Amino acid sequence: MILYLYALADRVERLDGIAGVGDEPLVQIETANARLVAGWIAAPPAIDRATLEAQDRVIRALHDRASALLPMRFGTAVDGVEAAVRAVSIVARTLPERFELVRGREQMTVRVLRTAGAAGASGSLGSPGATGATGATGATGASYLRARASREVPPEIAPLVDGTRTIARATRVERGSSDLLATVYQLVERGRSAEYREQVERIAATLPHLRLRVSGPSPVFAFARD
Amino acid sequence: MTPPPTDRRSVARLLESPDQSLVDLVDSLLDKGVVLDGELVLGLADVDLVYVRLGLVLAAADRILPPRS
Repeated sequence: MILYLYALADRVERLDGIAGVGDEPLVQIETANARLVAGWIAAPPAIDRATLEAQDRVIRALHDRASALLPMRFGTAVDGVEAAVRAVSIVARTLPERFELVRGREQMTVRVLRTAGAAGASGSLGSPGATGATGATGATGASYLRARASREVPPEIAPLVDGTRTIARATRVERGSSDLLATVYQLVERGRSAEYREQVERIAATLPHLRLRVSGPSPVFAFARD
Repeated sequence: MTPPPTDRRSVARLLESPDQSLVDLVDSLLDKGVVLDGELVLGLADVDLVYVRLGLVLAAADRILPPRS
């Protein structure tokens, strides 16, 4: 048997009625700065659609019962409680801050696509003044980090980031490839996803060369890593 | 006829298909979430960390999505 790990939470009221990907009962394990939600299963789960959907259902159910929940990466398992506690102890110091960021919030995702009439793949790397790969390599310390971060934010999506500033509590941007310009992940207060969608629709109407596809709300997958 | 690579990898095409929700699943579950350090953790799961991190949407979607004509 292996202990399959689903999420770290500040606390989960109840686990009754929630079964794991192998239909196993879930358990809470007390670790440093967090409760670990896990289940004992006979073998690692397969990577297939049914299992992904099953794990998504588990995480969503847990998210509904915890004010701050950090989902685990799919496939994370250990051989017992002691190993689980040891593994969590490595990240324990960062957990209070990570819980604070996501507490009472949910994730919205916007995929920013170039329309057929838009110019081809943007050759620019980030906002004006941002250095390219060569320049960033030459930078050091904080300037290097700023240059690297700015490269992840295509200038075309600035209206989206600026226009959602009043409702989004945190933003992560991943530059895309092919026709996907970028994926924007934002945290909003739980219950405000409809308002967020309406705001994005208003912004989309002002960006004829881009198509914005919104999904969510979902658990805070994109904000679970440190 | 095999579609050209750019078409096959089109994210817009995926997002307009019935598999749109699967894109979110793959992105969230395989590429996001808490990563616990230590070889024991992911090694026991029989899910190759390299596969998960580098395979990302391309490999995972190829494996999960039905073949397209």
